[in-house]
Amino acid sequence: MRCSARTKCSALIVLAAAAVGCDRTAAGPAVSGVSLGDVLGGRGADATGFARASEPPVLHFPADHGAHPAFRTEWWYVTGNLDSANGRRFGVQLVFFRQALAAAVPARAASLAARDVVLAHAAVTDVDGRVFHADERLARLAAGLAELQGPAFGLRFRIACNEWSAAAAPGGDGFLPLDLRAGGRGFSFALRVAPGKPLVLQGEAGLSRKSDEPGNASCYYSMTRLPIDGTIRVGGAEHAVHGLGWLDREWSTSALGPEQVGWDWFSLQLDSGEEVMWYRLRRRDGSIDAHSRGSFVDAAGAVAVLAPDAVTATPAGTWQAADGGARYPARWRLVCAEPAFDLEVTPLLPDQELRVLVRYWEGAVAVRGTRGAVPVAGRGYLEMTGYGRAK
Amino acid sequence: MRNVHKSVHEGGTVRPVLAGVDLTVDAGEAVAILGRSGSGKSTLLNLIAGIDDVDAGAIRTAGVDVVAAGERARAALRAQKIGFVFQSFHLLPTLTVAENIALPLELAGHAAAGTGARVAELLARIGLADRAHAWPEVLSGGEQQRVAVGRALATRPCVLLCDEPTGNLDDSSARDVLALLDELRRGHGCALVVVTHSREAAAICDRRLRLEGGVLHAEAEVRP
Amino acid sequence: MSLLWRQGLRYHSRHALQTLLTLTGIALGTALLCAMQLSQRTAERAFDLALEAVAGSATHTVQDGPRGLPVQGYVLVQRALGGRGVAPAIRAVARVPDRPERTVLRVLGIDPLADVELRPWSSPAGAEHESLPLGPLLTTPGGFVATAPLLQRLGLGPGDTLRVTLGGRPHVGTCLGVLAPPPLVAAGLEDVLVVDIATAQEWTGRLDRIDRLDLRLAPELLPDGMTEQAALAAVAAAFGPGVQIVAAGANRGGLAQLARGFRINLRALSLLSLLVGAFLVHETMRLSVAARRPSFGVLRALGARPRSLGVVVTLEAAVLGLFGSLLGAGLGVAFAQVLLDPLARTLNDHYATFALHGVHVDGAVLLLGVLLGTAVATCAGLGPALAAARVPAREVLVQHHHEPRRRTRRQLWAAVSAAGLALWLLLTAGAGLVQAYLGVLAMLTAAVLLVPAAMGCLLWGAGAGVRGAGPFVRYVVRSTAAARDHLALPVAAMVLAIAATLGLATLVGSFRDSVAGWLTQVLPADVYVSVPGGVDERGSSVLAPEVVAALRTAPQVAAASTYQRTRAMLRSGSGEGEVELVGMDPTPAVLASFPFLVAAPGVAREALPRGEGVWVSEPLAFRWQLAVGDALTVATERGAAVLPILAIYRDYGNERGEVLAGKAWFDAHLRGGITALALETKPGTDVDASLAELRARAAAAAEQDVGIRSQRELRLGSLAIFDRTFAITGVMRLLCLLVAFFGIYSAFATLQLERGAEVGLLRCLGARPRQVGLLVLGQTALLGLCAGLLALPTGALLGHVLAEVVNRVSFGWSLLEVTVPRTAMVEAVLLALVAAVLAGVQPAVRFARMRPADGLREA
Repeated sequence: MRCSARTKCSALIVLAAAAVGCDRTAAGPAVSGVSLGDVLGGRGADATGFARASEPPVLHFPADHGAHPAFRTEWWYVTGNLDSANGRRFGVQLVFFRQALAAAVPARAASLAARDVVLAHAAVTDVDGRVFHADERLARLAAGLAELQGPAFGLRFRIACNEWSAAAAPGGDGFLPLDLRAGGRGFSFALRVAPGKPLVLQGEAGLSRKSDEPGNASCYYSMTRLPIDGTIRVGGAEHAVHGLGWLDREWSTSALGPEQVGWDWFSLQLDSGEEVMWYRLRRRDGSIDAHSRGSFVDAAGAVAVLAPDAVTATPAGTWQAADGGARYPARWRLVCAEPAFDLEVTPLLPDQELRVLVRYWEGAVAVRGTRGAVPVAGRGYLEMTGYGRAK
Repeated sequence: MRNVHKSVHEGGTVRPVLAGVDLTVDAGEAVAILGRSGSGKSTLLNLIAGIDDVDAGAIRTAGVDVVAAGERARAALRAQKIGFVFQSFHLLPTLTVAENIALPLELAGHAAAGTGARVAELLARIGLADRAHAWPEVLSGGEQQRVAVGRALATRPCVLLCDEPTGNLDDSSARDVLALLDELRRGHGCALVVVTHSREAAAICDRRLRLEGGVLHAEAEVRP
Repeated sequence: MSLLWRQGLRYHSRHALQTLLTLTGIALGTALLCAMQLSQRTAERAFDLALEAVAGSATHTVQDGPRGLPVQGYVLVQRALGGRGVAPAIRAVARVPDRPERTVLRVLGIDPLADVELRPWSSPAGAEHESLPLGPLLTTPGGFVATAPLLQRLGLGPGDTLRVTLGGRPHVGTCLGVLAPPPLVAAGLEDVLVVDIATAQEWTGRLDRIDRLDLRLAPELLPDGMTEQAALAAVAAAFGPGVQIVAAGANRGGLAQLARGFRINLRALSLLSLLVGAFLVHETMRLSVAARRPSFGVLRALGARPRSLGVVVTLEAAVLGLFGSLLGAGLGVAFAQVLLDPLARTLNDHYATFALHGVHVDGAVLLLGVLLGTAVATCAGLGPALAAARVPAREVLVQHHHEPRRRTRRQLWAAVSAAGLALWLLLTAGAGLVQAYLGVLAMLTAAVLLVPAAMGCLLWGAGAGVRGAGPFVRYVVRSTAAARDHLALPVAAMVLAIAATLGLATLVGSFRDSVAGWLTQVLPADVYVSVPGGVDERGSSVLAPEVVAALRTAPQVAAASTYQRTRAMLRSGSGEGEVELVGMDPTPAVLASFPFLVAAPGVAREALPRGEGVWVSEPLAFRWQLAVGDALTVATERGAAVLPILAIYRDYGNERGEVLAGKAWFDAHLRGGITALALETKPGTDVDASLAELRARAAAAAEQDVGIRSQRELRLGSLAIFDRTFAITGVMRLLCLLVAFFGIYSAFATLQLERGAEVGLLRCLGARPRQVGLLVLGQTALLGLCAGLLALPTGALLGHVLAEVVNRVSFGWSLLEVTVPRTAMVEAVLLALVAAVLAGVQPAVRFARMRPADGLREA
């Protein structure tokens, strides 16, 4: 899922270049001068030469777990809610973005010549320690500074940026189990993501439309319930952890439309064995975009698409970043008639904002409510973008 | 002044000019020193003012032992207790009339702000109030010497020393200056020592002494 | 204002001409000083900014000489340190063949993605300013961005292409946009093409290497728990032994070396001109005190304390100094602009290339100039102030006022001591530049102190010479002689100023002769081949092997010597550092031509090709105190190699010094292609005609811009560079002459103006106006001649000291022969005469027009 027409990676770089927060996303003022935004997949960018997602993709696994260089942007996104043996709770996030800087480049002799860059974000929410750690890495896909390979030709999947990596372990299908290694100031983790529930094709059989313009869409699939084991080190202490993860894969060339300014994305894993994914695209005028979508996965893995009008997501309260740079909803309530659920979504920590090259909120949440008439609890991840204050 | 001896060097020879001079001048008294050129009259004045050093003897001016005093004390003595009028005026060419008169006040440590009234008063007394901002070089000799007298009296000194005050003046200017000196001296009540050739200058004094052979004699013939 | 001050200031305002001339003297001295400092500061700032823009906020830099670093090592470091605060860079120099007026640019290759912590202006995080067009920059081969001023100079806009050559190899750059970093960074990037590191790799031909790795080892950027020490160890481990990890700031010493020769000349000159200014103040104050002795006497009689008078005079000097130096500070900015151009050219000829556009007006420099000018003037006023304080009260009674006579004997004694001190300082100066300068100062002091006595002798001689002449001529000479003491100081000032110009002329002339002689000696071959402009900022580019082969086998060529120039880490007992090292395969002619200063007996020439030792150039030997037989340790790819020094040779080409080794040894221990060729043609070959053929051969062999020059062209070219380097000295000499002229003019003009009474008397005695005018002119001419003649030995001595001590201490090279140029000698005497006569014109005219009575009244 990770929604929106606009890839986060390109958004990140564009936004950074434009010297604005997330609030001035694609719809914000044009990047001055030679527009980085134009170049890196912004609205006006020349998508010539890149493939466009216009029809449901025909996917072959494990090959399609790997890179799709014909598309401009692509990501591998893992979030998880984990517990240590002594009951400490953690949220964890690791995402690798691949961004092509050009559709085609001439063959070059320089070892540092590159067509793609890799951007990675990692975060750990130390719920009991009440600390949120986050860091990022950025490197060109050349000479081993960043790496991206497989799974194909006998090579297992591996993506890396500097010392961070997500690499398929031996003995699997070339993708899962996936070993995650990342760390930054005050935290690090080494986790193994094991196979779990079958993958879910989001949208129309894997084609996720983000706006009315043909081609403004991505290929999108999810693995909604994957066991995770490993260790997390925070504050100098190492914790053996175990829990459930969610893996998103998405690739596209262009996505968001001009009026779409931000999004709220939910991935919720209920105790009932069911999962809810919902993304809500917000328009500049404050209304909710008609391309907001979601899915409901039952315990057996059967998928139901959630139409734009199926779910009502209501924000409540606000949390403001200490520097006043952004103000986010503090809680959410998701209500749906069919399948029937009414869920309160509460962040485990109020401050799970990533203040990296750009700022956005992404963190572990607790879920409580009813499924039909039955009380239900759960865990999940929430992403909120586009709440920054204009400078 | 007791038993003062002083020699001067002239072209390699030493010539004694004062050989045991005794002189006492009381406050309010005017004394004229007469004598031929080179008899040592000016030297006597310089010794009184501490401008020159004695070879032997004692000098006490306005209560200060001039012989024993150092250069600082002598400077202070001159600044506060002595007024000097020279034969050739010696006004500072780069100061105006008023500034020349104000100069001793400043040297004696008076604040510049407080000197205005005193300067105006003196200018009026010497009759040059309208020339206050003139440069000395445009004044006549008599006017210059009047400024010098005004300057000498600026600090209300107890001793006024005049070295040939009329030597460079025509008769009428000389009379003006002498009249002024007499008037001011009486007004101030200070001791006046005038070194002069001039009978007229000597006439304003109470006592007339003649320096001859290095010692002072009382002048015999006195004419009013 | 106090009346004491007022009388003093009014004195000066009434003598406006004299005061003005004094102010001018001080102003010129201060102006020179400020100009020198400002132009140097401008260069330093450009250098620093360039360095900072390029190195960013790095705390450490990893380098490995001209070889560069393997990319794999960079990747390892990036992983070990977590990738934050680790950024690669490649620096190079590009020539722009299509833009003759601005032919050399720097190229900076960076990785914007890695620059977040180091060069934020280039990274996505530096977005407060217009950012790089990241995508095109990374994906367009040859893509570059540059600051707006540079693009404007080059006449380029986004999308335009620019032909450049690096190491002689042609490349095409494409302008991708305008770089608009923060102003200070922009100032450092004024002549820089910023390219992606991959383009830089392609342009420099180092496809799998980077030049340097900039590190920012801050605790908040290092992985948890990693200390700086551990990080440095990790870096060292990633690259293996041999790499240098240099702490930031270590590079900054660069410019200290950079413009040293330049600075040394200028600083000495400006201090000298200030000294002349000080003499002027001293003269003015002395004259003013002399003229005011009666006034001071009156003041003393009125009860002024001696100290007050001294303080008044000192402060008058200080005020003169203050106004003069304020004027000078303003003038200095203008002078600096004049100096900037030759300075920029010098720096570009010898070192890096950087842009110097407009003087950076540094307030601190101006303040320092004003303070120094004021201080010098105040000090110069101390003597006269003392004289004023010593005016006795009885001065008021004296009819004729005389200054106390100067004490000639004491002065002579002081002169001898100063000369002794100078001798000692200069002989033991060793490598101490400050001491050398103190020695020069002592020497000049001795010369100044000797001036009265020397003048006496000269005038006595002149008096004897005119014994047979008429009374008027005799009067001119004798009245001058009589006023000798009075005149000694202005004459001394004049001697000093003229001697300085003569000394400089001697230094530069001798230096040039030495270089010319040396060039003839060290260029025995007929044709020299190299790549114009190195790839990196200092080094030389490698000739394409095809070019080397084509030229060696050309039909005209009888023999060829090859040179492989690189940089290596060297160490000896007394020195350590990166030094240029040349592997040489000489022909017998080249081998025989090397101008040895000292050599091991017998074997020095033959042992070099056998790899049994090295030759060391004189500057390096001087700097590191090396002697023949000493061992030199060279860091090579195979570890440290120890070689004995076989010989020390004369070399004016490289003030940092260099080391020559045999080709066989070089190839066995170091890497580096042939960077230069010296070709000897077959007998009977027309060298000039064969150049075109050789150039054609080279062009056909490889696509590389190769410089092929005849020995004559090379020699003339080198001398042209030399002349450009010292053009600055010419400018300074001119300015110094100006100061000298003003000094002389002011001193003499005031002196003559004081003589109204004498002239009035002469007129009363029947002298005609013309005769009076001639009297004045004759006297000033006589004084000028005196000064000119006395300046000759002083200047010659100064020239020798500058050439043989200061020059050696600063550059480490000795000159073949030091000669005082004859033209400069004639020039010196003429200058003195002309200045002196001109100084006499105004008083002469004035006196000629004056009514005799006015003159008498001045008595």
